[in-house]
Amino acid sequence: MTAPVKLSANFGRDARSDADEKITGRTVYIADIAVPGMLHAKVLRCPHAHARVKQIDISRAAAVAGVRAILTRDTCPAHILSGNAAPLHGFLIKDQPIVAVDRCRYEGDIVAAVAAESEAIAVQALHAIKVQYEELPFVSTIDEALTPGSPQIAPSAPAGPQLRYGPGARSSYWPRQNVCFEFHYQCGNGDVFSTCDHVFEDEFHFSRMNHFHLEPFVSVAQATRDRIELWTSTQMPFPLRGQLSQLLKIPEHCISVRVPFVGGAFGAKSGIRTEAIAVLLSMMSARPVRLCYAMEEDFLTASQHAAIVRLKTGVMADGTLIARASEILLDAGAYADVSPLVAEKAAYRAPGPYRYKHLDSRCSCVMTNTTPAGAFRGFGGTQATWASESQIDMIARRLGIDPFDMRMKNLLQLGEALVPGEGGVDSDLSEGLELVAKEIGYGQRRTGPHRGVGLAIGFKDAATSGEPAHAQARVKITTRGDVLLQSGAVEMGQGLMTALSQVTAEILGTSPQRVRYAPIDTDATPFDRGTIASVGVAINGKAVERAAQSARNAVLNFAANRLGCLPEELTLENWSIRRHNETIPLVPLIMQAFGGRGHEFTGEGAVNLPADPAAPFLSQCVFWEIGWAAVEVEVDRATGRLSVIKLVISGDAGRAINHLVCRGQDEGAAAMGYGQALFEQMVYRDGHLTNGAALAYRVPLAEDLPPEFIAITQEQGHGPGPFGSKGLGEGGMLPIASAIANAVEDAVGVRITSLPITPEKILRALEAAR
Amino acid sequence: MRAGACENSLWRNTANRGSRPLKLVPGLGLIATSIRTLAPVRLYRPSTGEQIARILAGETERPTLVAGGTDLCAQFNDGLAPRSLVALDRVAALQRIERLDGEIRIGSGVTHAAGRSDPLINRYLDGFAAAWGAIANVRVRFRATIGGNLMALRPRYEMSAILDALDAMLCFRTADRVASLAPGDLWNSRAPARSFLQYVSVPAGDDFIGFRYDRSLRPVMTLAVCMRRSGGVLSARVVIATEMLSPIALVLPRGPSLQDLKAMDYASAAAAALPEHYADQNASNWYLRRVTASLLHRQLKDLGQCLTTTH
Amino acid sequence: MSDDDALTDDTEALETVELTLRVNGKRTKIVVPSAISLLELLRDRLNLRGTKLACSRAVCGSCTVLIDGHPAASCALFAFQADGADIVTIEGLADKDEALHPVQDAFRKFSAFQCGYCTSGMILLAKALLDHDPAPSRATVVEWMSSGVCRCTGYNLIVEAVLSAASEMRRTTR
Repeated sequence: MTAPVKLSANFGRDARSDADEKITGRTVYIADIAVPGMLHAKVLRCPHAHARVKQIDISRAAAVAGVRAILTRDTCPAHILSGNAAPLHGFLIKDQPIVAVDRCRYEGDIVAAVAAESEAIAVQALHAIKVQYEELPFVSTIDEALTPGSPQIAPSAPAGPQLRYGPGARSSYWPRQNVCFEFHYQCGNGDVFSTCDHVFEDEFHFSRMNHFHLEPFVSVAQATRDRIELWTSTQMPFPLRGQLSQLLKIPEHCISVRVPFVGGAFGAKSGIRTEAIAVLLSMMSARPVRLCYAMEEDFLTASQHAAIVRLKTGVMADGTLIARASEILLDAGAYADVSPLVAEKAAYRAPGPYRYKHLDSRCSCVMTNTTPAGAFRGFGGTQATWASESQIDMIARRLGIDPFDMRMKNLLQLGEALVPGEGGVDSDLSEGLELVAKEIGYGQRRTGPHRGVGLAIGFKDAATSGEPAHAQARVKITTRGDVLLQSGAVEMGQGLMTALSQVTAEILGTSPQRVRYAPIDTDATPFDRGTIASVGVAINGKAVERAAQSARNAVLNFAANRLGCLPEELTLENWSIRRHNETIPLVPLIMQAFGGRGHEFTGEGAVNLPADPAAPFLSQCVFWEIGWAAVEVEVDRATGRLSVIKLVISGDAGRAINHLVCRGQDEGAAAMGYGQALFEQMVYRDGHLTNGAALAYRVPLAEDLPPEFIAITQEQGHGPGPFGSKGLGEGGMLPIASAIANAVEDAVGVRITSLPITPEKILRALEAAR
Repeated sequence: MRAGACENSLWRNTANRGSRPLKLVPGLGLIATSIRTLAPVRLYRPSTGEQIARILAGETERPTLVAGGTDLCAQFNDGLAPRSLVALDRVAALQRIERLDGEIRIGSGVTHAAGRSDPLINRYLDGFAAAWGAIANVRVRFRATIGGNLMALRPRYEMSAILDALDAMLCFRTADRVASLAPGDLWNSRAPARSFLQYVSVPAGDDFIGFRYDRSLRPVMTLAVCMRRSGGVLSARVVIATEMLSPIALVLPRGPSLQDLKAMDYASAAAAALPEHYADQNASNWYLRRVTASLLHRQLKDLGQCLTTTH
Repeated sequence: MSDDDALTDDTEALETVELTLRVNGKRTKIVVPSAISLLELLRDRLNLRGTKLACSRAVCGSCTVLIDGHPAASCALFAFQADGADIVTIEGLADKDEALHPVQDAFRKFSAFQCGYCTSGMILLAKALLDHDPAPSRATVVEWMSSGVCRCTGYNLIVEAVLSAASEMRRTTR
């Protein structure tokens, strides 16, 4: 735990750093970027769930006036092919082509792309392309994919790199048909199941959501064979640079990826989306190219993993948890994307925040002919929590124990590790549970018939997959004390820019208004591994803190030198030096030393979390991200209609760098969980997505949220980030669905184990119970 | 009840409505079309109904009519690419609401916001204004029109079900004639060729008792019920709709009418009259029957209050 | 229904239209293709990029502008439908001295935004509400703000900001 720090009076209460531009409409998103001579690209997508592409004839399309380039497997520039093979991309398993090669694997898979003088012309050209498809049998659910004899989506079964783990964890590629990856974690001894008073087995179904970020996938590329300038809406500018370098055979230092602001991502923008096509079309046309998807196309690009979760939990009669075996099947869609990493985490998070003697968690990525599933807020934790926190209540009721008491009995203590080798929990879980239970009035009489309350705790290791967490930052201070903060953390709404600017300002003794967060350009911005996993404030925060300290030290050293004293005697405040009771403005000091052109002070900082061979993932997680939820619902027994009367969500920020940002993160996450719990889902019929557009795909509106919706930001102070902070943004989503299901059981005695929790499911369950 | 009312429902699964966003070019693929990708369009801006009819008669390829335009942008995304547009916003006659011969005639260009606050509708058709003012959202209601809502032929849009229960007639006009259609008939593509919807007429005589619209279970289902008393006999017209199915009116078999039955029994009988095939991916027929009975019971009881207070 | 007598025979087809509209107080005359959307006119022809395109179906409200004081989805309107109208975009909210509108101030104070993509639309929607009803109940605010989708905030802070702006606007006009 970080020692308590005295912070400035207004710390945490400033307006967001991006307020000015966002409230005046001046923010430049990638969707707003236009460069002179820019062409507009559109893509042609396969209309079948699975099809062989027999022939593509672009002759008539090429003749359309205003068409400048057409990309298909046949026209792909020769220099990027590996031998005769088109390049493939992906995270671990590289299975996704830039445009379809021999087969399309899902409805929406891209076959061709056109760059033209206008979108209208590009569309006209697409109409003139002739594609011969041979439809193939397809699978669109987990069960279909696993049925013996069903079509194989990836017969070549490309493996990824060998993955290393610490004790208890292992994984394999393609263990069986249509399963591209399987992860297994185990600790303790499975014999303990036989010592349990009860072993309960339950199955849960988790739906598939779409991210529904309002800014679409969009890139503007200006590229030649040797150099790429790319503006793109991505969460991972540097990994993207690396992927493009490998894919297109261009050195990384010749690729500049630029990300000013992102209009929402929630995980969707963590891989190659519009970038490769935009870049290739630009190379082929020798013009800048803009490729911007329509929202309907976003639905055909990325999605959340639907899942089947089977839990086998051994417990004593008094409610003590002993053992849990979990089997999770994730619907990975048509390409592997980041599914293997989600599988690792879904399995790892299956136990929830409880003490067990034995864990055995297995998670498989099942391929189906549907939109590829990838990173989505919660990252396996959402799927795991839906099942785990539902089953805790079910077990409690079967044993005649109050669900709150059952949780309190088994919750990990502060500092206790989930599993051997992992970092200890850095929040007091019981304290958080008591807080939300009190707020919902747990244990008090319900204020109406058919009303009930439910609790749940979302519990997620905040960790970037693969290697120990790392970040870098640079702080530059000009002569006049204007601060430029350079960091690769992407501002996509979560307020990270604000948090990092405020940390910087606090260290430098200046106001946040004097800190400007530089737009990201991989040529100049310090390296970053991607803005994911809610680790930004802890990891980037720490790097920024060190960079700011380094810059401050440079200033103090300079001043000490000029003033003939030791730097320890000086402090920096409002771009002045304070020595005892004296205040010495810096500008004159600098001008005297350096003359008319002044000077700039630079500080750099980095953080590298240590590797730890004893940890299951070879480094301990950065921190634990927790979401405590309490819900009160009312059920209309005649229709099954569910009203959520009050929803309480709480996260532990450790130390809130910005209070409203923290609150907004928990409220936004909870709203997303709420939508999934009650109605939001992607619906497939016969391999065809039936509701992949706004309106048909229902997302929560203001009127949908409960009349009482409260977020409580705790500051327990144990975080590893600056001033004891830790991240928020995902924990708030995890517990909502199970809290609601628990409340429904409390209200009317029925248990819904599949999402969404619809009125019909409740009514049917009530019927069955009679 | 008017003769000719259509009781059938349809699974709306055509290529350019509802279940398939993006333009599907058969044998080719999916293309993201939009208003931005339209080829140049010829625009007509008539100022009278007669002019509209003449334009429609003159064009070989059916022009697209634009009232508020709210649904049109979605249709462009779904692949609609008209060569000509007829803007209706300058035809003042389409924006009128008037009462004539015991009917209220609502111009097809009347917006939801205007309808909601119209004094005639509020006075003579109790419950209709509130229903009309609840659909879509505040922003859409300022622009979207009753005609646009009907002619979009999207099951999730609500005016068709509301007007069906109200026994409304849709009055179309061509260059040389007029034709009236029940709302249900529109789903069977029975609007005359080269016609435009001029107005909707809703019977608003002394026989009208009240109208209720229950959208508490939307988008799973909605229920519209209109109660009338004619020749001393109470009757109700009940229409159910779902997000994916066009509305269906529940026709009870001959036997005791609402006059004779208790509200609960009538509601159960009406729900039982829902055909077995009426179900979609969000709601089974079993569920629709159950909630129809519950919601209808509640609304009939509420309408029953109208009886005791006004009669 | 009887037709009005027309003074001219408006049955001629146009491939381009000349529009006269007031945009953020400035009278603008422009010739555009007949089927250009109002959004495209604002963003691409008039370089007012604060209004955003997201769903392109009049659902999400990111493209909301004010037309004669009413909120409207500019992606779902042809430019010709705004002929003769008074249009306000997010760029037109600050007054001539660049002071922000109270709704903008409230959004800043309450951090009633995150990624900001819906924010222009939400702010204009709120302004239209408060011009229409200076003392709205919370329920009315929720009803109006349900004309827009926000994926980031969960709406609480937006509603609080609007209520605060309402109270501030009433205070300063007394």
